[in-house]
Amino acid sequence: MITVKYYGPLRRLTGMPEEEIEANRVSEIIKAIGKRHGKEAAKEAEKCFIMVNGRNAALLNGFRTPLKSGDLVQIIPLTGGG
Amino acid sequence: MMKPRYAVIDLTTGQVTNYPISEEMVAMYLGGKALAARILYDELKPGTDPLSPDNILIINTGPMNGTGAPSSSRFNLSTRNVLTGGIASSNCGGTFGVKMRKAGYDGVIIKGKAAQPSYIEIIDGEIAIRDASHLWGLNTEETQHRFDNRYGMLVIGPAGENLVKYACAVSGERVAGRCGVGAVMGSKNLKALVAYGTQEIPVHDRQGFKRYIKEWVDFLRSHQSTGQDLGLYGTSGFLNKCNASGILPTHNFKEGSWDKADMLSGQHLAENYLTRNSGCISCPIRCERRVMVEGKEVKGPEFETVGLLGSNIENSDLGLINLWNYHIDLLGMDTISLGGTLAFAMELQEKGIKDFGLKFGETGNIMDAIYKIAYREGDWGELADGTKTLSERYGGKDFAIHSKGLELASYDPRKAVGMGLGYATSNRGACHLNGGYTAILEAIGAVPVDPITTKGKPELTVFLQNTLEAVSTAGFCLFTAMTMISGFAFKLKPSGKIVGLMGGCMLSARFLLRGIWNKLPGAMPFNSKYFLPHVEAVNLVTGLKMTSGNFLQIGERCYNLERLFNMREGLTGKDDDLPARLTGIPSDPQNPDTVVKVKEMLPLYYRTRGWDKEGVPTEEKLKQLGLTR
Amino acid sequence: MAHTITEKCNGCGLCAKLCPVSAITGEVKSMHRINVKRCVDCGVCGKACSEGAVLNARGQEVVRIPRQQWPKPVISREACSACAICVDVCGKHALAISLPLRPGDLRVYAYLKDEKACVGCAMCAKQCPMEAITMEIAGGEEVPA
Repeated sequence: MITVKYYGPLRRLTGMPEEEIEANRVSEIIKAIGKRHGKEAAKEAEKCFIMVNGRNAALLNGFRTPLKSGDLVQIIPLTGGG
Repeated sequence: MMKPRYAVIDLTTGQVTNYPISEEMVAMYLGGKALAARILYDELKPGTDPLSPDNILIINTGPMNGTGAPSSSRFNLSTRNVLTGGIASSNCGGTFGVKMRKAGYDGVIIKGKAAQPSYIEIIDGEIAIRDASHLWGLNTEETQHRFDNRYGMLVIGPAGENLVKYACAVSGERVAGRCGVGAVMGSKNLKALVAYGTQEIPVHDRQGFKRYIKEWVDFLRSHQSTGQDLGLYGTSGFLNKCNASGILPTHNFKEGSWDKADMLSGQHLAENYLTRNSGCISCPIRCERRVMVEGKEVKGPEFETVGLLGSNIENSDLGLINLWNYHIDLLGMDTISLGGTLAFAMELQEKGIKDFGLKFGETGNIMDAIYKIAYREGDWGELADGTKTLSERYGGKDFAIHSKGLELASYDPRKAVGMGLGYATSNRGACHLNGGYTAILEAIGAVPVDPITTKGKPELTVFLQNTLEAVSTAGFCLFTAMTMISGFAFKLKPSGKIVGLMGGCMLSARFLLRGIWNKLPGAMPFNSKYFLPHVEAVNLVTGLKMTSGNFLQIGERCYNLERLFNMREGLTGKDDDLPARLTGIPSDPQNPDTVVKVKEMLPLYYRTRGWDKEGVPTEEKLKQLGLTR
Repeated sequence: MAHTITEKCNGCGLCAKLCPVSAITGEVKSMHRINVKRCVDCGVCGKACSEGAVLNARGQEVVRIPRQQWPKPVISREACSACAICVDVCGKHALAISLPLRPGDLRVYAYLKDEKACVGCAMCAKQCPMEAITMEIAGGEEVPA
């Protein structure tokens, strides 16, 4: 089980601050979000920073970053920019 | 080119004289903090007590102030640093700088000490020193209400009068916060400066300039960061990201994230407290927050304030932070140093070293403490001396979170190690902006670079430090440099491999970034709106013909000059350090690399800068920069 | 350059009251003076003067114009970046930045909040970096700033 935390618009779209999702990769999390909360939520999640245990997935293996049970995934909007 | 007009105001004798600035000096230093560093280096006797009448306070502008260029109202205060003994430069987005230029002066150099409370009036090219007995003791808002509301003002509050070491100067609601510039004003019995005039600000090519800035403003407004995010969520928009990345200081920098941080985020602020956003004069980015406090709409807190008066002291009530922030501004103190000092006092209590009656998570007595600090009353009055002095008095140096004496801003550098190197080397002490703001790439930005590796960090830090220095020198807000990260990057999936690779490229550019400084300005013989739009704007205003290379070299020159100033005041390479908590105790116990390996990064940092092993600029480097005599 | 006041001045004080930069001083019923360093040559004093006592920078008498026909700033919402330079420069505090229509609305702009306070000096139009402000007389005729 992966703990997934939502921030920003995603919280509104999913209606919850966090939930548990079964997944082996980051991309499966996005898929699961799409299934549970609709396409719009999945699209929004793709536009966000995805942090796996405090590390930016972009610096790991992007959407192919592997996950294991007990991992924490935080999905945070790009607000504040770079 | 119009030569800038500077005056020397001697408060002891009441005399006002002109201070000549040559065209050559403008070409070398532009203005702002760089030119001020030059003047300080030339005029200030080494070893002068920062709070003595002999200290010199320079308040000056850059060539862009008041021209109408985007985010160009920032003016600078430079003096000897009350907290570090090195150089102090503090910059502020209030209207005083613009109004001073319209009143006919580009800068004032203030010496001596007035016999009684005084204020300086700069009106239509005339400077007068006037009695301020009726203003002494008033807070920063009341003081400003006593003047014509068209004036540009720069005032201190009770904290500056009482020589709180991190007292700030306030212009409107904007603050020159760091380094104790307010205390220097207070030590000179200088309550305020006011300026008003209607003189035209010189622009070399007015038509070309107007066309250029229109394009530039449109560019800023179309960029995700400067056109959207900063306006929507302000600087606290960074908070959730910082928390998730483990760089949000918590419990006096013991931890890098906090489970209640959500309650402090920019989004939480926007949804629950924000009335609207606003900005400094001339700024299209408008990151300022407006919130309701005590029935009034006032300036809301910045990210730094929220972090240091929030998670760092374990307070999750954003409403309280809004309230404290307002009162701290009224009293005239730096929220960063104050927050850091409060957290240090809390940890002294927790460790049983000294009980100031302040505890992590307890917010009931903070407001009281803030007022007592500003007036230096009772036990809490001691906190007005700042973290470094307290740690020397009571112990706890390992967790006294400062560098050179200046408290760290709200980024825990252990999971943004480049930021750590920046804090350690920054000339004015542990400042995120003077330190290069590497954290923006390591933890916040759309193009992420690996936050833990030390590889490439010295080079990146030098590059960013010099860049921000140059931008600031001209009179621009540093946020105008946000567009260096292409808007294109924001259209990609932020967690995809592509942006990861882009971040990797930045670190791979280290060989390029290492060698470039010895080949400036020739190595960058171009100008680009997408890289540094500032250069062309400065050219159009001043008539100079700079390339990006010349511009960055001004930043490098300033960094070296400030370093020379610091060395003359007795600071050495040994002061380029951070407290043991940040260099020795991993932020993540599972990952021993989550510390700031300052000692490992410094040699390469020095080498990139052209400094020797002790961190002393080499003759060759100084010659290249024109800093030898 | 600056406007000047001639001996025709009857000291009514209207010009001093209207001057957006407070450049005019003088006692009631005695001749007023214009501070050369402060004057921005907006000509408001002359447009208001019933005695024809104001000369412009070229030494010509400024013609009196009824106040209803003084130009007012018209601000293009598209071009305005809400940088507030005009709000700051307006000596009459006639301009303001609009309020957001809903939370998160970033499309705000400068507007003429207090039409009565505006004297039509055009400083806002001259200083606007986006050239978003034009000066127009009621009825739509544009006047050069």
